[in-house]
Amino acid sequence: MTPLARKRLGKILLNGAGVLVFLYATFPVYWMVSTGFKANDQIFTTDFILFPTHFTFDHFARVLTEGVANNSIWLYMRNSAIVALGTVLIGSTFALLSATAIARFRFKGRAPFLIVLLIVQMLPSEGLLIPLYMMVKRVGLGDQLLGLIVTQVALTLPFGIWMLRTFVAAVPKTLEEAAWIDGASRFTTFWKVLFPLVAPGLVATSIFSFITAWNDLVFALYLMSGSEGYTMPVALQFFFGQKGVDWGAIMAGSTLMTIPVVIFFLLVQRRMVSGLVAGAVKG
Amino acid sequence: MANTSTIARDGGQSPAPGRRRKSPDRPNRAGGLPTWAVPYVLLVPGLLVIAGLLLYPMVQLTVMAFQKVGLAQVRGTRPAEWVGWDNFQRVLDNEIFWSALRNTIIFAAVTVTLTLVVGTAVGVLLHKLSKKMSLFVVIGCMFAWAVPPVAQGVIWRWLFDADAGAINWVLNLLPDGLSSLLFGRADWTGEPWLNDAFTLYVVLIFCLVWAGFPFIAVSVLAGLKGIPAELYEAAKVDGSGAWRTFGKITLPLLRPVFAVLTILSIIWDFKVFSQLYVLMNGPTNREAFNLSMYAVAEAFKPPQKLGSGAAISVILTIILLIITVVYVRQIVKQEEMS
Amino acid sequence: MKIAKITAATATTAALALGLAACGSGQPTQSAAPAASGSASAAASEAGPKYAGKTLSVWRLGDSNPAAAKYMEELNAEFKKQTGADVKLEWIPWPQVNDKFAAAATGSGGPDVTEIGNDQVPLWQSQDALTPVTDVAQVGDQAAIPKNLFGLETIDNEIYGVPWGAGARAVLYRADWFKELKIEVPKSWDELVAAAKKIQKEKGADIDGFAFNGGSDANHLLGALAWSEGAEYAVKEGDKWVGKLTDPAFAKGFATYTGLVQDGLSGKSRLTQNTVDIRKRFANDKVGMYLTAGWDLPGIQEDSKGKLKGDKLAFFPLPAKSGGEAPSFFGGNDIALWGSTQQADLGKEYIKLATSKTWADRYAMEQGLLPIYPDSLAKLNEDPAQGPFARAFAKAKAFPADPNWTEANETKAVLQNAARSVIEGKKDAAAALADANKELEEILNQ
Repeated sequence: MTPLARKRLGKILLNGAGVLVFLYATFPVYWMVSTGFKANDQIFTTDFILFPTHFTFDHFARVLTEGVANNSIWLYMRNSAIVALGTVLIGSTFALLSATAIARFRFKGRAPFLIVLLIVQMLPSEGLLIPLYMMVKRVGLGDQLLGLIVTQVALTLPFGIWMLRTFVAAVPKTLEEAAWIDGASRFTTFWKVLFPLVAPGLVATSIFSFITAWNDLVFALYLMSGSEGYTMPVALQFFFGQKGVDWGAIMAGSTLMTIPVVIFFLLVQRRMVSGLVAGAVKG
Repeated sequence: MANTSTIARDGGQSPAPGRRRKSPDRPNRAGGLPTWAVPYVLLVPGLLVIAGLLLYPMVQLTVMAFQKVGLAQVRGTRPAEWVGWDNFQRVLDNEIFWSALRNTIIFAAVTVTLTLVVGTAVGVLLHKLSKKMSLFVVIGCMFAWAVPPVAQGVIWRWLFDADAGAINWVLNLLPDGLSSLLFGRADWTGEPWLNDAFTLYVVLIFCLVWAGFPFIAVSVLAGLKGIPAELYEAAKVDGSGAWRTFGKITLPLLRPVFAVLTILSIIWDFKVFSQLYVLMNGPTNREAFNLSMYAVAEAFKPPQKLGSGAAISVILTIILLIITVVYVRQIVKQEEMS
Repeated sequence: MKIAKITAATATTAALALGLAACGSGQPTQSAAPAASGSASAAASEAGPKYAGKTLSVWRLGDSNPAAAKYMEELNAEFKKQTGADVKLEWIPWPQVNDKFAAAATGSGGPDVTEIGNDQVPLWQSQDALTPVTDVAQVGDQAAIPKNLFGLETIDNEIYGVPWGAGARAVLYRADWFKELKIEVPKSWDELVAAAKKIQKEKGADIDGFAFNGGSDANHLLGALAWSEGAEYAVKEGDKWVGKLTDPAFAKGFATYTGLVQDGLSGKSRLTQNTVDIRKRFANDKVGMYLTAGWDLPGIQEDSKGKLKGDKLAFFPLPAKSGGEAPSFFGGNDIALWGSTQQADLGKEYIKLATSKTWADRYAMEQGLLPIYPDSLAKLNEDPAQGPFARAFAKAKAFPADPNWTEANETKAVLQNAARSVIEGKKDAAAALADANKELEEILNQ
């Protein structure tokens, strides 16, 4: 085999492997979506039906119009969105303030704070669930989405600060110094100089918080008093129990829940990678 | 926000490690906070959340682990009863705890290893692929990565469904001889993967590896991109083979990355909840509980025993904290290096 | 209406069974009932203006099917006529019931009045979530409800719920398949096994001839099989529960139960399915027979897109292996006053009306349950559709009446786990039952 042919073969093998990885990653997702469009006779079958030839919008229509557990699916979607966006809004603001403090200042207690941050970031959320459940019920937030938002902010904040601080630190100080010399106030310097430069990091942090809050099952399940406060992950569970397993509706519901996250991931794909990697890996 | 400053710096005295650069102190501009106070003001909201919603609840959790807490105590109409080590004793005496502990540890060990191996292999592959092809595969991986845990559970529960699952169909496609050789059986029709704790965890491992490898892959890819190409050139000139180069250059340089990825994976896989919840349809099959599920089942399934649940959570937290210490040391080391 | 929470029974039910069996002779024993009913509503209407403008929050459990929705509409209209108060009705789906109750018991968003499975009463009473309604239960129409129907509801001499409808199970079967395959309705366990095998042979091996229930309500099936051998789960001796799972009688029933899978009447892949899952498969032509009740019929019709209804389905009483008909579990739904209610008087008015003879009978008959008033129940014995249930109910037996039974039954699924370990060959039956017995005692006595 000539070196050229060998090189070509190697390239084919590599690309073949790439395609396999692509299929491995996407097939289960495709299977979810396609099952959502299959008529029941193609769902409950021992045969393998790659394409839904008995194509139907029934399951999606049923999920979107009938809903589950006495409520429309839009209520759960709305709850999920409120919790996720609320978490992002509050969490990112807090994270940015703290990250700025850590990345831009030397102060007494900085090192201990960093250590505490690392440790609390690792606390198991299932462990926090029980005391937070007590607290939320005691203060009467048990039937309000705010109770859920507060816990999600707590769970995402440490990692958010940790991630953002690398972005803040990466902004050259000379820029701020220049603004400072030009006579800009602290606020102006922050808003006009630092903020735009940190924005990509803020996006990455926000997406991390959004996804954590959007995906949460256990807190929504136990903190909320009833179906009015449930989010999509909890609502999906009801398709399993209420009338036996309704796979078509479950797949339709899962697809609906997955779409926003996939859009986010694809939109900010590069930043996601650099953000997470910078935040999580580079420390 | 009006008081936040980003440039006042060097509140001074702290010997904190990190940025070496020192800038000259600047007189404080009129109307602002004293420079030394700025970082503390900035930290207030973050500190409040961390202290009030993370540290205090952990204290509360520990206290509850020594109490008998039911719904009446949550409501506040009856005081919690102090029971000493009873909760721990009952939990440790129960075989569910030990099977949950075993499930947790073995699952984490297997899943972390597999995720790292698959993720690294894909990361290296991505590095070798052309730019376009690499992007194509990364986008594919994004799909797997983006699927919410509950939906992951749904997908894999469906793939492994006994009657209509795709996996049983695929296994039935295998030539009977091969299938018998590998698994000791040829007919997979109606194979109930989710009944038994062992096979349920097999499915869970498939699920978590699939969902977890993209993160490892892109992290490794990012790490690989950071390795100067000259090193590889040099290795090539020396006639070093692919495996040797990987072992001698890639791995050592990525060591810090791997260390962090490993610990993060351990911590994530240790407390997997949503996917397991979906696969076994709520806390039902107690032989398949892991520690998180066991804690939740004890605490919230009627009759609610928040105290016992807290005791299990305390044990889980202690195990995770030990792992965390390793993680923190690794990070601190890197911090010093950078 | 659905499964699971309609479980239940008390230690006192053997007596009840005899009482009802006696009623089975067809003698209307409660001639006073209509008069009592009339006076009750007269008294209620006098109270009318008193509650005008008030709103009472009421929870019903399950899905609102058209029949149930219509019943509630009419009941609430009558309540408004009598008291002037409006009713805010909420349907709580079965899978949510425990969480909803738990949330309400922690303080917020509870109802004034709720429907509740009778076996759940001890549990929620122990959580301080219910208010006694002793005064409602002992006067008027309600005085005619047999005292032994209050076994689970009576705690420390107070009554925490009034029976609304009773439940019993019988075997639902595919009458069309039986006809096609010329199978006689089984009169004995052996005939049932033979019928199941024949269905599997003719209709496909992936069909459950007789479906095994290993899910959340598994004890309905296991209980029926064990009780028919004369077994008990546990007996209270003094203030301690003593497990009886290792008794030979229980082991026999347990063997029949696990035998459903071991002998292939039911697929091994479905060890964890409960009645809801079985119903779904039944509607998809995958089950020949299973143990359930009339409330499954609307769901089956819906799930099968209208194909399975009418004379394609029928019930027969579960035959006992040792001969005769197997006892049913003694189940039913109550209506109770929630603990945090601010309108106890109005709530009691509602309970009084709902459990009056007219409305309780309608509640039961229109939603696939059995009436709690003995003369109404007695009439059903003659009814071909309801007869199997009335007869099964006449032999109804009890699970241990203890707040912790729910933990053993559902949360820890003690017997389900024992059955699974035996079927999967991990333990032999004796060892599995010994372990289960020990655990059951621990749970009940904690």
